[in-house]
Amino acid sequence: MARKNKISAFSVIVGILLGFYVFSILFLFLWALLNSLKTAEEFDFGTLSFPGSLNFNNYIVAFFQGFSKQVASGETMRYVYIEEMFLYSILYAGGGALCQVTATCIAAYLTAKYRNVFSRFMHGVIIITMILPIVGALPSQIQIFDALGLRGSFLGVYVMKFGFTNIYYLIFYGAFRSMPDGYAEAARIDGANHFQVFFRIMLPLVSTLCGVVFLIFFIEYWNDYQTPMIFLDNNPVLAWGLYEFFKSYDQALSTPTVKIAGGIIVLLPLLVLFLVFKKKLMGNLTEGGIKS
Amino acid sequence: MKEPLWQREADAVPEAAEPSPAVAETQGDYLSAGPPEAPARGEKKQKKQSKAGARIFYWVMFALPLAQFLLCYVAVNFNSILLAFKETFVVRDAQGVQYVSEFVGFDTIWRFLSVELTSKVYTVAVKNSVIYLVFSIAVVIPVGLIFSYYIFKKYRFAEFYRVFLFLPSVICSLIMVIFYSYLVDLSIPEFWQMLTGTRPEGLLTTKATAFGALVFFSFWFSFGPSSLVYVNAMSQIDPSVLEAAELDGAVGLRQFRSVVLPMIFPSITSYIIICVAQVAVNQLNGFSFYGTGASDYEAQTLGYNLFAVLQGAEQNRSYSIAAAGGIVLTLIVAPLTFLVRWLLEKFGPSED
Repeated sequence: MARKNKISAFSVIVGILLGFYVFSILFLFLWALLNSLKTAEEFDFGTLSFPGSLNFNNYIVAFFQGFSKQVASGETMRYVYIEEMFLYSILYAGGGALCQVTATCIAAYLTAKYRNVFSRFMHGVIIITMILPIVGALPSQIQIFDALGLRGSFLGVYVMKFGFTNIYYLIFYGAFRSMPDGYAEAARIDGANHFQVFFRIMLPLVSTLCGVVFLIFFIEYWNDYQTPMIFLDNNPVLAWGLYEFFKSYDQALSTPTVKIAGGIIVLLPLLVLFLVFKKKLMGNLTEGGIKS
Repeated sequence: MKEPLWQREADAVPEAAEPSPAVAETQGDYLSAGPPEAPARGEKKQKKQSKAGARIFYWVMFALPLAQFLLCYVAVNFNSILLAFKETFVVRDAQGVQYVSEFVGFDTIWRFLSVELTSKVYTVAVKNSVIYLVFSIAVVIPVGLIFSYYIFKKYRFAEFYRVFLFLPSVICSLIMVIFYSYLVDLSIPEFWQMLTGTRPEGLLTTKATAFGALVFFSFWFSFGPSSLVYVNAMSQIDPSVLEAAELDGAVGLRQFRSVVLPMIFPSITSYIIICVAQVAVNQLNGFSFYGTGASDYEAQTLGYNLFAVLQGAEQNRSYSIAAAGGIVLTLIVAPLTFLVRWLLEKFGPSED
């Protein structure tokens, strides 16, 4: 039978504060939803009132006119709209997350299980890169990517994201270090080579961890607009489209109610993703992997 | 012999529990392990083949990640240092506009130090960055810890609260920026007018309140990922330690202060170090709120300035001043980060 925690003044006060915090988040979303259903006149009259009627015109304007960006296409210019931005977001977020998880998993496995001098050296280098703050390397990265022809292409972005110097390296490293060698030895007795051991034994054992880390990176890159702004200037993602929409002075789009509706349009897929995967996203990253 | 820094960090990996001696005996190094139960005849040849196979696997698998690291970290940072000693000149000739980079020694760095860093824009940026750093350490981290402790102890509605602590970090910050900007610029003045009869200016469009509004925004939506880490760290505490503390009468705040905080101090240290390391990088969403106009409201930070300079540099390919700024700030922030880390390790609470 679970022990009940003793109620103290501290827990009551913190509980109330958390309640206020949750209320403030809910209030913000409700406020945005109600104002997205108002006409421009209703919004100008008052932002703290309920809409007179449910007006979905803002969503129609936002969806069909809000997300548009002019980009170069060869020697001409063309417009990119929300469907294409959505596709680019999938390519950027999905491809970037896949690259990052792959590189991180591989590097962690090699340094954890192949304990030579180089592995120890790389492990140390990775730790140092995580705590050493490097400021202002972006100009240099732009210049190098320009020189290599990697800027403005998904290949360039995938190269950029195929890195392993992130906090999840430590989590993968810990997972591989704590794995007993029995699995690999049994596989080698059966004639498996190192590639087969990694792809058919070790990788499935960390598949849950890979999935969770992939989700975390996917969400991070889905919400990122500054990197695509610089490195994918002709392939605008949804977040960048939303930024341009927010800053637009176009008469049809400059109404706050339309911009709020645009924000809700982009919010919905993420909300669904979060509600479906919230246990995985908020769970303990160290769990999962080996079955006991 | 003193342990190197990276070794201590390696040893501090939270989940890399050292295997028990029984398991350790079976754990080997795949690189040097030969085939188990290899027959006596031809054993040497098989071992050699196995080692060669291991080496091929190791270098084939490491090739691409290593190449990426050499390009995107080593080469980029090396080039960044070189850029800081260059300047780009615009040359107009018969072929059109050419951008020529030349080495100018310390001129660009000196220009950043003497002109940029002493300008009003950068003075305000430094002040704002330091204020936010102090605020993060003094307010954001403690509040995050208290909230996380509530979740960890599974007090009433803890799971429900946990979802909402994490939700803002999943949602695109730009969406929150859009909602928040209209809320504080329109609704809050409207509400104030209902209460007092006078309507103030929007909080984000008034110099006196703009930076405060940005700080509050960052505070409001910052708890998600850190709360996960803190709750995870608290979960590692031996339950018998907490039970013993409760038997001695340490509950609620007393238990939090005297037992939980010291035991999760390494996680807290990590976040304090991250705050210090990001002091020159954090934009506080200034670009999302203002585009390149944050300095009009004195809401810029060092990270915002560097990014905004880069936006302007695109037009004339003059990345040198941004690179010089990055080098100077790295030389200030990096030792500061290591100093803070050392101080926290030396004077911070211990589990004992």
